Amino acid sequence: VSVVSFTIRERQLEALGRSVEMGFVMRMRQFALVHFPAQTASLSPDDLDRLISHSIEAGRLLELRSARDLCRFFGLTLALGSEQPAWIEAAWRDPWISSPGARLDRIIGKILRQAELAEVNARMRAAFDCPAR
Amino acid sequence: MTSASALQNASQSAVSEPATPPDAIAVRCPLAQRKAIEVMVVDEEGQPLEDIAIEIAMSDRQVLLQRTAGNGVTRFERLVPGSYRLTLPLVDSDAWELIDSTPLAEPDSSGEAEWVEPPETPAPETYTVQLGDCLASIAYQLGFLPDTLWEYGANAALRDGVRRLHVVNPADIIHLPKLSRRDENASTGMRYKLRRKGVPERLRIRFVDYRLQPRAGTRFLLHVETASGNAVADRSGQLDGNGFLDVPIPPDALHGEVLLVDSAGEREEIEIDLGYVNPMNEVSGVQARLNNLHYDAGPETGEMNDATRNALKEFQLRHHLSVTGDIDRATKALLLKLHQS
Repeated sequence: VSVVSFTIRERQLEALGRSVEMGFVMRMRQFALVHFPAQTASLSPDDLDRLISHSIEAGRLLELRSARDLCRFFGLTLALGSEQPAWIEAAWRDPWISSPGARLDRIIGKILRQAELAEVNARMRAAFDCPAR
Repeated sequence: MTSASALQNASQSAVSEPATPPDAIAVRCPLAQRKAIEVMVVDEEGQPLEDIAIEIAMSDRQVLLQRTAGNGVTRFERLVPGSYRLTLPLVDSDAWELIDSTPLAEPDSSGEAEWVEPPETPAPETYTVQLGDCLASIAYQLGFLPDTLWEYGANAALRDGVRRLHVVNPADIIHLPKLSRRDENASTGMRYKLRRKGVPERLRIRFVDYRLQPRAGTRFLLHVETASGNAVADRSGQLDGNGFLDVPIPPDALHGEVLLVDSAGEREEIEIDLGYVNPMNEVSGVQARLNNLHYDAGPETGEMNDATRNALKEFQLRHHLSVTGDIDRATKALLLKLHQS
């Protein structure tokens, strides 16, 4: 039985990692253009790439590590823009949610629930001839 | 497309991204089977409770912490199959109970749960009552049952024999016992349903017309805002046969707006500051109750004045009490009874 051994050098691994990350940035670009056309319409390709890099850095500062969470965080950033409610800042520091990914789940879940309740309440108010809040 | 719906679509789409860092080139071992534990927290009426902290512990120094979502549920994933300790770390052991456990029909997950040390947050020893607080809202926010705080030995001064049950005033100091902890055994592949006791509170208001006849059948729309800022679904319905609006509300409800629409289409909007009625041993508490019962005591100044005396006389006359214009014992007792708080 012959055994073929081969060595992967650290630099080769780094290069492979970089190429995987570049692929991720390209997917993020596509993700933004598909899901947030209004928010990205006025951005040049360079601006969008800068925004993606900034979002990845900001996400990593919040200890988000996976491609999935960084992508969701980027979506959150695009959806909220610069007007982030104060409770979100507090939610990122919540000591009673141990995982950064779970904090992101909680924040996105809460925003979606608020939007859902606002729609339900608007329908109920319409039945009373009241404008939505 | 609204930002919220774009966010929802984007979040679903992001799930196709790998759960590993963007520069990761490792592949997880497919043999490392992982399971989940799901926990749901409901109130005493079975309604889901949001933002309740849940802890799953592997040991005293290795825990996972999450909060319940709007549907009252949270899921702990990527657990090595086995048994763990489950608790509500911010709720006293008397204030919750395990009511149900059912198998979780969910696929296995992969990866590793990120265990952390439990946070060291100093427990407050006292709470100073603010305007708008009531014992129920304080107890809910601090994880107790109202009775636990009321009966606590160090709070004997609150139970001075004059006050009614659970009445607290602004600037009162409430001493807080140490939260007692209780763990339940929780196995992977199971869903546990927990009940938070002492929740919800009820909002009960009686509406009468100018002849003091109940406005039975009048349609209402109620909007409530909470101290936590959590959104609450509006409620609509009809006042019951005695003119009562009687609905559950979160204990931290701060403010309400009621829209009444009668059969002729007449509309009336009423704003309510919840927890703002002072106790009966204060003139402002008497004024508030007289006003709420449609006796015009004027602004709730806390000063005994002509408007308050006249309202008291009108109240006493209508209810066949001695017409003195004073806040005597019989008047106080009947005011409390009719106001129901």
